[in-house]
Amino acid sequence: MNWNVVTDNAGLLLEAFGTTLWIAGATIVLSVVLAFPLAVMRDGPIRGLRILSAVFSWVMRATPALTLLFLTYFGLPQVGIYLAAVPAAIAGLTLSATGYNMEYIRAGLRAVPSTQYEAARALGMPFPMILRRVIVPQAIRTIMPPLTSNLTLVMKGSSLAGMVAVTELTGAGMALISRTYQPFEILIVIGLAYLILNGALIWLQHRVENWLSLPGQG
Amino acid sequence: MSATDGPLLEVAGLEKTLGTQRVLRGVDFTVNRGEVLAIIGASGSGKSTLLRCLNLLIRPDNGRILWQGREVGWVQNGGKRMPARERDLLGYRTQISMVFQSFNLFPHMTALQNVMEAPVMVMKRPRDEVRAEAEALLEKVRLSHRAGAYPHQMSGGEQQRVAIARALAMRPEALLFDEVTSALDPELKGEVLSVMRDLASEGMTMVSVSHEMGFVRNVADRVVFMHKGRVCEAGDPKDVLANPSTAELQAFVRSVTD
Repeated sequence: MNWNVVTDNAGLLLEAFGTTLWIAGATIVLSVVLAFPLAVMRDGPIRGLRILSAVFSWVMRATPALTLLFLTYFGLPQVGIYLAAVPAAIAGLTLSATGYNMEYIRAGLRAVPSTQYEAARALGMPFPMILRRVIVPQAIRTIMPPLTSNLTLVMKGSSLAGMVAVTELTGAGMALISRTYQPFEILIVIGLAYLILNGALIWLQHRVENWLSLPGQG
Repeated sequence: MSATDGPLLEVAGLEKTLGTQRVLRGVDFTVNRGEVLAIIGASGSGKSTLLRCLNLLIRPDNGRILWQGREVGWVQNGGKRMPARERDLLGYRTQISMVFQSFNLFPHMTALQNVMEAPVMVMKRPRDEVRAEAEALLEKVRLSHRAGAYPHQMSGGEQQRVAIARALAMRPEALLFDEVTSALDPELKGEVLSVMRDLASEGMTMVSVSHEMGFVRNVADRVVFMHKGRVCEAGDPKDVLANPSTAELQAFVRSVTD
């Protein structure tokens, strides 16, 4: 093995690492922020919003992420919306991730016993306050493990952005390989990079879980 | 009759159908200020549904609920009688607190935080003032030493006493109790019942669905016997339980004393 291929192209690989971090990070934050209200709407009291969020969830999960990505990059210009490659990739990946996130969040919200709503209503709490003070703090424990698991998929799925001319880790790696014919070294380095990124995500999950755990309950 | 002289709570012709089941078929009774009213009846007779209609956790299909002489749960809208919106019921619910069979404390909050939650968040009262009052309420239910404990660290009897303190923290005019000792082991029932006896002797208005015949007989001022969604018999518990006039209540009294 000859690691010169890595050291010679360290600048390119670092830049690609930064791009992956930026795309995946933005997608993770946006998709979680968007998924929360959609999950609430999905089981909420307003019929129109229930249907709207159900359709959103169905379309986003039933469509390949790559199709959504192509739609935001190649499709939107046709109707006069021009997004640069990176924002287009973030938009496409966020749509896809939001569809999944909302289902994990929804499952967690439903896992809180209905007697908790009843107790909160009996104390005169309005619905938004019940969500914020009573339901979400309990649901978050149920939500964290599957949601984080999905977010590691989102992190890896950011490699799809390489398909719309974004020089992220996987795309940059493929370009390097076709130029140098040294796939092994390059793929090991890229693999390690994803390992670090998702390692940080999982570490964050444990930190949040520890912070939320109650004394004597593990 | 002015609002202050009349009954605190008046229920007339209350009806509720859940699914295909006609749970309440026209219930009438009144609760006076300072009175302890016990509601008894076999399971499925509509007691818990009735209690949840009183604070409008469940909307009755028909009938009237008068609180201090004013109708709650319905509004007049252009001459039409319409169900009130949820947000217009919140103020009413703070005046008539509820204690549940399964306690329903918030598991992510300590005993003290459970008691402070509604006064601080709903009534927007200053936190320091509420804290002092909450500590006094925990003292009243003999749980000062458990203020920092989470619900899963407490016994059922302790949780239920915290739930009573939480209900009292709203400074309600009346308390609703929904079979509050049914989920407790026999040796833990006593501590909850003694707190309820204290409240009764202080003149708190209480409506209690209960299977504790000792409590009904000795603490309640009046008892209402529910059967098939209707009030079958009502009166002073000492008379009513000793000399039931209907066959239904005779059968019920036999079944709970055996």
